[in-house]
Parts: sequence; C-alpha cells; structure tokens
Amino acid sequence: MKMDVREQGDANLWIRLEGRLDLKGVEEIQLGFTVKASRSEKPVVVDLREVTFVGSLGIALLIEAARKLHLRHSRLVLFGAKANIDELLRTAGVPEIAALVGTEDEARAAALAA
Amino acid sequence: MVVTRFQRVLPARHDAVLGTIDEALAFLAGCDLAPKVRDGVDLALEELLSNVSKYAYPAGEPGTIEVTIEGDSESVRLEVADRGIPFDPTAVPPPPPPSFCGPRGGRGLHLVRSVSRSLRYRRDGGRNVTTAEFSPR
Repeated sequence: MKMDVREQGDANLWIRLEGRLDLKGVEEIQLGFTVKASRSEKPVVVDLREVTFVGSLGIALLIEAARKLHLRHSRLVLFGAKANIDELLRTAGVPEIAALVGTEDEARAAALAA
Repeated sequence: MVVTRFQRVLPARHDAVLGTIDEALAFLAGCDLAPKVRDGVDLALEELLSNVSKYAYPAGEPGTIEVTIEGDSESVRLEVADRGIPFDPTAVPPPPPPSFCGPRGGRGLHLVRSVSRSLRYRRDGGRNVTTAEFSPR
C-alpha cells in the first residue's frame, strides 16, 4: 500500500492511497495515515482512485480518522472509489461520518462545506 | 470453469494469517471469478482468519486454523474452522451505524454477511466451523 501526502497550500490536506487497503496494507500505512489524517486541522481529502480493495480493517481506519477529525472540527472526504469499493463503504455506513463523493471537484466542494 | 480446491492448516498466528491470505489471493487470481465474488471471498477470508488468530485461543496457547475455498465460477464456498473457544459469528448483532461518539469496531462480521450469499456456523466435535458462500447475484 502506497500513501502520498500532499500539502498544496490550499485549505485541505490531500492523501493519495494506492493498492490494497487490507490487513497488510493497513499495517503499512496505519501510523503515517493516523498521524497525518487524524491530527490535521484542515479537512482531509483521501484519493481512493488507485485503491483496488478495502477490507474491514481499512474501513475501520477510515472511520477512526473521521472520528478524530470531528474532534478537531474538521472533516474526512473520500473520493474516487471504484464502484465495488464505494458500495462496500456505503454498506459499512461510512457516509454517516465522512463525505463519500465521486470526483476531485466534488471532493473540493465537500471539503469546503466542512 | 471448475475452481480447484484451496486448503491449508495454519498456526493461529498473525504472520501465518498474512501468508495464507497471500496464497489464497494468488489462488483466487487464477480462478475465473466475478469481481464481486472474488472481493467477497477476499474480505471474508481476512475477517474470519484475523478474528480466529486474535480471539479463538487463550493467549500463549497454540492453536490452528483450517481454511478451505472451493466451488466453481458461479458459486464459491469459504470454510474456516478452529478448535478454540466456542464462537458463533452469525449470532453477533449488526452494529449501529458509525457515529462520532458511538462504540468503535465490530463491523467486520456485518460486512461479511453483507458481501456473502449466506453465512453459517456449526459447532462440530469441538470445532468452530464457519461457512460463507458467495455468488455473483
């Protein structure tokens, strides 16, 4: 699992994930993702376009980040999930605590609404 | 296309679980499965194996996990068995929706139920045997 953090000087923190967000993938990025995503004062936008699989631990990682961001009055925005992953995230109830949108433009708009 | 059988007996340890998941994924990649079926087996395999390795056996007590995947291009059956403490995953109630202040975790089995056609459990001669079936529809 690859993770690329971009602080582009705009109002958001952008995190691009690539690969499988499964048991092994979560272990590989958990510390870095948690430090970056959960402690951000800015909305965190996660690019899921290159994520090929999300398991239950991956969903737990995203939910936990959304909860911690909420404590900082910020928000987690997820975008670009493939259809099967989008369906799974919705089944898990992720949209209850994070924005789940299709495109980068929609992600910017959702982050602004935070 | 007939799915050849995948069967392993592994120690109930995290490293062995990771290795077996890798082997199972390589096996599934060689089968002509619908993406929905393959992803469902993938998710359930990870959830069931990691649950057994974490909770089935008391700390420090060695134990094993038996994994079987078999079926065809229309339907796949995943069976996970252990000799640990009795645990019926089908009896776990659905979790509440995620919230900012509610309880953490506990969504994995709910997801397994969601992605599988059926999830069954039996206690069989001192073994927990959990079976999940997957089909494209």
